[in-house]
Amino acid sequence: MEFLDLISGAPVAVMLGMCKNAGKTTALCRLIREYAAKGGPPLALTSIGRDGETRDLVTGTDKPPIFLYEGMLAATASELLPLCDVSREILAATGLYTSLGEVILFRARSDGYVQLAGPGIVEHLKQLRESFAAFGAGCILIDGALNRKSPLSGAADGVCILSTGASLDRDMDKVVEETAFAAALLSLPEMKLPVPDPGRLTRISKAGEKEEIAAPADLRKVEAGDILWLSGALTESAAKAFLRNGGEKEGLTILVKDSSCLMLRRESWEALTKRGVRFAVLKGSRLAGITVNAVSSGGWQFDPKAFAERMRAAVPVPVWDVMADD
Amino acid sequence: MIEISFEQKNDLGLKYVRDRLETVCPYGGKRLKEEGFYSPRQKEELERELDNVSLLLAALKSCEDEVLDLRHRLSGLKELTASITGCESRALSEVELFELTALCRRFQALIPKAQALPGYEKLAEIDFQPVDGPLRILDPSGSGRLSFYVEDERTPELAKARRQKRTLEKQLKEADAPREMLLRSRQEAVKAEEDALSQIYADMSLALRPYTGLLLNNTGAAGRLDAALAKALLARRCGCCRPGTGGEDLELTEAVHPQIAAALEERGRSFVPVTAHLPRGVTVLTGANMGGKSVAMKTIVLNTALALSGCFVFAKAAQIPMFDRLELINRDFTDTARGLSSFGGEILRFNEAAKHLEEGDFSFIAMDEFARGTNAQEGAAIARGVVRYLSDKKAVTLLATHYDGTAQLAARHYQVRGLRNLPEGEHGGGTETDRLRRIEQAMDYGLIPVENEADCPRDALRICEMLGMEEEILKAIRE
Repeated sequence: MEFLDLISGAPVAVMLGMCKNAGKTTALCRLIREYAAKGGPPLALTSIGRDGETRDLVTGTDKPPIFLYEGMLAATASELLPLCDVSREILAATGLYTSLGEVILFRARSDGYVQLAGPGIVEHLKQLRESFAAFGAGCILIDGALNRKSPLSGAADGVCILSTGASLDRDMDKVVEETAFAAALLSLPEMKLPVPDPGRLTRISKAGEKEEIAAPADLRKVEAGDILWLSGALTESAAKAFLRNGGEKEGLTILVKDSSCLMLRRESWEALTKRGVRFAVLKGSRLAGITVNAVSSGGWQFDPKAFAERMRAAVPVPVWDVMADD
Repeated sequence: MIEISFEQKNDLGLKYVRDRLETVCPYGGKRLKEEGFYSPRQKEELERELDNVSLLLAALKSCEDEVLDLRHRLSGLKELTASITGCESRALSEVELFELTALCRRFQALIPKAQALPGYEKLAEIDFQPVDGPLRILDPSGSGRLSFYVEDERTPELAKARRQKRTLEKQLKEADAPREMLLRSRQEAVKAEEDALSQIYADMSLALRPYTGLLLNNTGAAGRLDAALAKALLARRCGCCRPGTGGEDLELTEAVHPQIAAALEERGRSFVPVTAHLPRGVTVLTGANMGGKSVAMKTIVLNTALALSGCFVFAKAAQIPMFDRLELINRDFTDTARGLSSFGGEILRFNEAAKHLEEGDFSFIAMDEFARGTNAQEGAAIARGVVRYLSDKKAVTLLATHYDGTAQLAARHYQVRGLRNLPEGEHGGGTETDRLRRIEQAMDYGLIPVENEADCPRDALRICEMLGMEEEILKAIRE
């Protein structure tokens, strides 16, 4: 199996990172390289916001880290165009703006490095997808953010790849557990349900009756089989209050907009799931795989094989060590 | 020069109409902003603009699809004035050169469509020039593509740099190559490519300079076309007519105020059109409270302002003199902010208007209940004095007033018909909405010319009654 197979068939894929130096860009570059070798309709690249450029240790010059191949498409802010060293054919000015200028679409007419800064607003990605498609793009690859907020939530055809690494924590167990937690949140089942708006906390019974929960004490009324709809975020303190007031019932489902609304800590999440509480999202995402980087930026490192093995045991998706398997 | 403040534009309904002039390209919006009001010296320009609207209205009738297609093409034009004029002083960037290429391509597709419009050659100051010249610079190989790319053959330097870059990239792909050296060489090739491109962009910008005028002419023409088309579409939608301009008499037949008409329609009522003939001198407008004097006045002023800004008017027929000034002397809430009473504000505005009259300007002066903010006796004396003063000035004045003795001094006197067909029995009963509706139903908003001897109608007490004033107070008033 090739690394590229993780995103095979998906028209759009997003790279997410657990922390800096998790190997997200390495994973991205590998996908680009394998895609170029495979051929087919051109890959299109952009990013949510801007990732910092790196310093080329060999030549001592600043250089962008993402290497693109002739024929591929990319979208970046106009001010970053002069920093891209591919020969480029300007295809479109999108009318979408970033702090670094308008997002410009171009086709690489040579191989070379690019710096990406795409639209920072998730809604604009949809428009960008259409523009890319109009220029014949195959897969669209998005360099995402350093959190589990997938800009693809709700886009049923997209997938995400999550990068994690030793830089997250000195303790390998903790890295594995936190990553498994993030992976679980990125794989929550989608539940298509008409929900009241705004109604901060609403209990929806099996029969479909809706009742707003105004006071914490009312949580006791919640029954197994109910759905509890939260229009905002489930924060850590809210999760604690939930546990304190006996809100956790086996077979209860907590429904939120998307995984980024679950802002509770892993310990509370585990306490709730152990008691049989389930979670669901209105807009789901599909996690295709996880990449691991055993080397940290802080100087420590894990045993690469052990790290990958532990990670594999903790998640139901493929795990790749993009550094070792390179 | 006609100046109308933002608040007054809002109050008059001018902003309401402007918001409904739907331009589709940035040049159209800019044109409307810059067009402003036409002065007497610009009468010919105004007529040409009205001709343009007439021609486009006729084109909409005979070939609507073609006109709407042209409008759709206009909507693809981007605001690029800074890049067009930029080439006069600097090298344009690759994105700017791309945008100019796209703009020229859009003009290339749009110009034949515009030229095919019936009456195109008669459209004033809408004369698109072919863009082959600038396109030869932006796309010398004649690829016809919408994108922007400088081909290798453009200069030997570029060809050489790109050739080197390609060779090095090929070598880099081969696994055993000494990467460090190759990467450094590639950096040099990239630098050489950048230098070659910078030179090409600078040369292109220089070569585009002679075409600045042509491109600005085309964007200007697009703006005029877009703006006139927006006016024609509004005129068609609302059944507006072309105003006659000039002369000294202001005449409106069945004029409507679109904003008030829309609000009335929402309440299930219809607007009573205003027909009025205001000769040079003073016309006094009297009538019951709540009888629509202000509405009639706003309708007349709005349509006058529209005609003088090159729009068709909301009326069956109109003749609008070429005024130097539109003076709106009414209660203005910004006066209090300036530390003035409403009376003080009115007097200052009147002084300003009088100053312009003394300077020889031809003004349209609209005064809504002038001097009402002071005691009745002095207020009436002031109003009468002002009518006397304005009677022989170079101005058309419309004065709405409750003061007796003003109409007799004026050249003309209109009265709002006022309360008619009063329902029998209890007048003040029901909810407030009921009472207002009852007044609306009993009120005839039509204007009738009256003999100068007539005094102001006496409907105020009846209005008090119908608004549900306490019987005890009414009794006290009657005594």
